[in-house]
Amino acid sequence: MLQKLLVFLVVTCFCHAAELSFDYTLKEVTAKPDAKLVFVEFPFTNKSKETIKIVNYNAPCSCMEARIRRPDKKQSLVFAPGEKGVIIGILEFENFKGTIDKIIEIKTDQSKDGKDAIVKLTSRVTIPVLIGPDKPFLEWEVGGAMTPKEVIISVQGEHPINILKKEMGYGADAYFDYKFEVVKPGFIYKVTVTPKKNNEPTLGALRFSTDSKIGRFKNVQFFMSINPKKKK
Amino acid sequence: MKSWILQTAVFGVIAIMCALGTYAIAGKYQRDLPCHPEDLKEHEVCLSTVLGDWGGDVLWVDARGGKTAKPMLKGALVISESNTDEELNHAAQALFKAKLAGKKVVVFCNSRACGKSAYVRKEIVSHHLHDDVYILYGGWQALADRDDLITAP
Repeated sequence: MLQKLLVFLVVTCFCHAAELSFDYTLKEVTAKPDAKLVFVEFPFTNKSKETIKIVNYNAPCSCMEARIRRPDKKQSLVFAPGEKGVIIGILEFENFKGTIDKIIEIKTDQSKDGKDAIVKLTSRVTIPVLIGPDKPFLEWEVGGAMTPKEVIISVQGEHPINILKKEMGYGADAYFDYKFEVVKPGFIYKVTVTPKKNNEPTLGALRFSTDSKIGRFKNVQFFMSINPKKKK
Repeated sequence: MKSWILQTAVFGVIAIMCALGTYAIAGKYQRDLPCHPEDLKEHEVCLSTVLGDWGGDVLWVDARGGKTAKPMLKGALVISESNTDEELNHAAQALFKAKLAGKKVVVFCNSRACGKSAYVRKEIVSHHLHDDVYILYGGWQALADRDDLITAP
């Protein structure tokens, strides 16, 4: 019995590789609306009894870099039991807005179940949308009712954003008419779109230029389409 | 002098024979990225499905972004997360026509873990420009050896 227990303990020790303990593997961050670079930190500790070496740390996305910082200032990727570190993800955003997940993969010299031990750290970054439509599209059906439909464009926050220019894309003015109203200057606008004809499938777009100083909010757009009749 | 040349030649012949034997047994080296249905997440698709079951008749969307010149997939639309509004505006007509024609859309980025494909897919679907949109498992890594599909930068 004791022999069987001993064998079980030995096997168990070999099956469970030492791991770095991360405070969290998913971090949600809300950046400023004008953010171009976002830093996300993942602190970790070697809580095991083994020395662990980080052999690779990589962000598969070209928009992201990964770095390591050690509180003890050692220039080493080897972490003895009890030692701490921080993985830092540096994300670069151009005109992106909204929410997106970015992953960093950390590979150590430990193996688990015969495979390389890889930890995935997820940065969930939100860049708030300061101005946008309440719906990204309007739709009608070929041969259906040509009912006017509305889109409300609203501005978040305390700073007004004015719409300077309106443009209809894809030659859609042959198929759609629209009326633009300022409900609350700098903050709320209403656009009412009415099809002129609906005899064939068509795609249109309405694009608005703004006076926002932040590049990603210089344009607002939504699409409209006349779709084929749905088959019953 | 002659003995080491002879030995080198003998080892070379053995190596060539082993290589030919391996080729005869196992066939050409498979560079394709392995893709198993059980590994696929929601909306993901294997390249083998796209080229085999679907006959390659899809609209490709390149979500890689980045500023450096790189090999491109022939006929692929470019929609990146960094300039989505602008690029979606340019690509919208092609997406809508593909939707009317019943042609599927497949989005790819650099690798499986880059996340851009999922974002671009969500933007296409949420704008109702197309509703049958997939993400290529492995991204560019799955396509990189397909010289028949790629154009040089």
